[in-house]
Amino acid sequence: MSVVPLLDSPSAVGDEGRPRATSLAVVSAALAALVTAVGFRVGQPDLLLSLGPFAGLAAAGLALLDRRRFVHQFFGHALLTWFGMPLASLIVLAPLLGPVPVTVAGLAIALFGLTATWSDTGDRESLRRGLYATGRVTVATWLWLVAGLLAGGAAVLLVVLPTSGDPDLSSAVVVFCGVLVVSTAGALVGLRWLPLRHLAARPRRARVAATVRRLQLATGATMAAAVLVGGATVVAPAGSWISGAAGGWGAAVATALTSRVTVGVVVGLAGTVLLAGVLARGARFVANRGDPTTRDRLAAGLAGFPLAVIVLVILPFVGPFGLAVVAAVLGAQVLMLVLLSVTYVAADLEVVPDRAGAPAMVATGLLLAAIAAARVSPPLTVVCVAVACLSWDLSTFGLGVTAELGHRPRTRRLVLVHGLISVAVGTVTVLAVLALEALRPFVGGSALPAFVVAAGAFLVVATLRG
Amino acid sequence: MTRRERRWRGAVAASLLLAVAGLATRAGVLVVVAAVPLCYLAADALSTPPGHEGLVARRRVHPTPAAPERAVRVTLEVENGSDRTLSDVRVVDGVPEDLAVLEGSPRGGEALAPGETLTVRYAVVARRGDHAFRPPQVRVRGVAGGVHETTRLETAGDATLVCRLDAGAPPIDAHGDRRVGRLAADAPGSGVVFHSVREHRPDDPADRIDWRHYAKRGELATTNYERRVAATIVLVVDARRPNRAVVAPGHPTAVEVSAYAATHAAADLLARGHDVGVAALGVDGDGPGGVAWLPPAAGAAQRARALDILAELPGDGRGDGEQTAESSSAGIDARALLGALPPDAQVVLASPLLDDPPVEAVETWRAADVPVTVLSPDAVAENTVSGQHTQLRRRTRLARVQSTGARSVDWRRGTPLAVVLEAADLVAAKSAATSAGRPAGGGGR
Repeated sequence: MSVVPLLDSPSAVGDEGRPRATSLAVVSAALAALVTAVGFRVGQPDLLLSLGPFAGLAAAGLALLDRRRFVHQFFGHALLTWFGMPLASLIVLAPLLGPVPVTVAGLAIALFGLTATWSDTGDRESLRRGLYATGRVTVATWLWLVAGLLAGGAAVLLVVLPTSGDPDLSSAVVVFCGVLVVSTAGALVGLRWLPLRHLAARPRRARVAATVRRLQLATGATMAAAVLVGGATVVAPAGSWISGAAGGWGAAVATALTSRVTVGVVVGLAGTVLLAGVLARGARFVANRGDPTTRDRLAAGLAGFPLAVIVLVILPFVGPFGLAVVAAVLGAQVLMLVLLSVTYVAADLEVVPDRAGAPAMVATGLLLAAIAAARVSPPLTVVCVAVACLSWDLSTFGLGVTAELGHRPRTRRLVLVHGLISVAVGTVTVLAVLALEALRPFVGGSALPAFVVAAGAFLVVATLRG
Repeated sequence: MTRRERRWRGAVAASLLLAVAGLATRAGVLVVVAAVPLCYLAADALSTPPGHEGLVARRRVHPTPAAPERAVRVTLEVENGSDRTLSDVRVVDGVPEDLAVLEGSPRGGEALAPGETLTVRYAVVARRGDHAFRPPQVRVRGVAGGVHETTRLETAGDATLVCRLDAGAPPIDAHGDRRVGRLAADAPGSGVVFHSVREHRPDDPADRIDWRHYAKRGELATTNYERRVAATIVLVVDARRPNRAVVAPGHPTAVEVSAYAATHAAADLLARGHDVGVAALGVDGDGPGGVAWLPPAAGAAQRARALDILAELPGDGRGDGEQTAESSSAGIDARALLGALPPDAQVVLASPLLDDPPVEAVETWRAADVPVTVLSPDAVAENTVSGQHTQLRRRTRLARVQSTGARSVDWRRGTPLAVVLEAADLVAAKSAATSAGRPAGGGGR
């Protein structure tokens, strides 16, 4: 069994929802050519290779959320959020950066829509799953951040503060006893939660249980001793008995007790035991509640962990770069949530037919790119609109073929003939519009003649349709 | 019927968006480019369906008549007999509602140049009865695909799938020797297969004198052959309501399959000269225990009567209003049937063994030393947990049947009846050869 889930299983392809592969192949070729052309025009020839993986992997994540197994859910949450966040940031922030980023953002939407069409994930239900998954990963990231900050605070409290400065012997003993009490308490909790006896082989269980009991007794005794010694040091006249006990080694003992090696070893050991115990307890909790909700939460928790780590690693480096990374990671999640919410609401309101959601996303992205490209390259605008129409035509035609005939019959030639006709209509239209655009300055120089042409076409069509 | 598809409703909105964006940003190209979606819309509006005149459909159904549960291949060809290209032709064959498509798809789509043919191939599972295909539905679109015309085409060729219980059964007059059966007996007598040689008696027929023996030893001797005797067999078909189950929608019921097996057995046994009777459990009649009953007899008339009874068995649990619930779902009165059996009669029970009464009936018959063979068609779908449980219980019943000394044959789905019986015969022969003297049993998997 492959660890990385494949997308060629029937659940990913869908039963009756996806358009025919032939029509999607034609649309993919047209869109790839357009993105490459735009990339060359804006000075970024590798634009397709830059955007494609993000769009494809985010859509793959959206598709995997439909599966039941945990590994699929994990990859679904991870791919959707890790690769969807940069896309969402680009789409939402592009208007602040100028026409070229908006064009690129439109193409990113179109590529995401195309990959979602391939994986049959543009419908309302898929968007709802994606929205919930993003929300879960966002919450998990914040929870990991809080946990990380708490762990960092504890580390500062137990390791950094006690080892800073140059305390006298009494203070060093009190501080070390305090560290010891907190650490042994944590170790006791960890030992209680660790299933050491259950993990041991059956013949050795009694021995392991006895060892664990001895460990717990020793830890408890150490904690009690630390409490007693620390309390006695605080209560007794400052430094009198302890200095006497240390003799001429007082300074050396104080230095040893407050050194980072000593404190670090104690805190590190106790922290490791506590962390292992918490993980074991969490795993048991998840295993005992094997319902889909727990599975999804665990997958989201694991997917959010690397994001929290990035933030926590960058956070200490306070400065423009660190803040930018933190804002990008945390802000992108919010932007993605907003974008998915808007898309889901649009799907829920049936702005477009449910099954045609992804093709509509392709067309919308290309129209957005066309509007932005008007200030970059007018011919690109024309081509963007033509490809939008072509993709809508072929995708909806392919959806119709699938709906009427199912996936079994071979209909490649049927779809190709329609694609050829659609490409021909688009080519003629593009040439005519380019000719009009070339003639426009000579006719009047303003938008009025073109508007008249468009209005005339509209009237003609309205008349034809009755 | 002509209908227009509204795929381009959004084109007007897109054009308006582009035009407004162009006016707002003073970008003339956007206003010009607003015409592109309108051009697609215009192409869609101007496209008209070319009409279905010139399309010629022909259907082939093979084999017909077919036996129940047999895969029947259907081929539908739609030819463009006109002189123009049809860019979008979609066909859905009118599969009879009672039949399930087993393989392939009854749908197809193609762009057809003049003289080209769209071929749709699929297979259906045969069920008892005559099933008429509806004319195929054809949808033709114009070049842009915006308007389509739908119609049903008149079809040449086969229009009906005939499924008969006696499909493929041997005709009695062609092979039957009427008087003498082909059941070999231990006692010597007249026949074909050599048995032994004995001293000649004056009343022995001359054609049985062993002349080689006389030439060697100068004494007359008579050749004995394995005597062939006719047997009396009663075919019991379990047509009670619990057995009117199907594996999946569109498949024949277990009763239909049992009736098919009984029909073949009756035709075959009668052709070999045996006396054959029929009892239909779960069908009201004047026989023992109130079931439909045909006393054992031989001959062509008996075959016709037997096939009539088997053909009348209820096909499913719905259209059998005449059957009372009590008679069709109650247990089996095995003792009454036992009383009606002639001496030395054998019983062949065809039952899917979905409940216990058939097993109890076999136990009763075997207790009276009646030879019993159970042919059990598999009517359980194992793709669910409950189905697997039902299958487990059925196999337990088969084992119980075997433990009584009856011979059992598990007829798995998709296996032709002839193959199942041949395998059962081989197993029985091997079993008899290796364990002579033990009660006959097994044969099923």
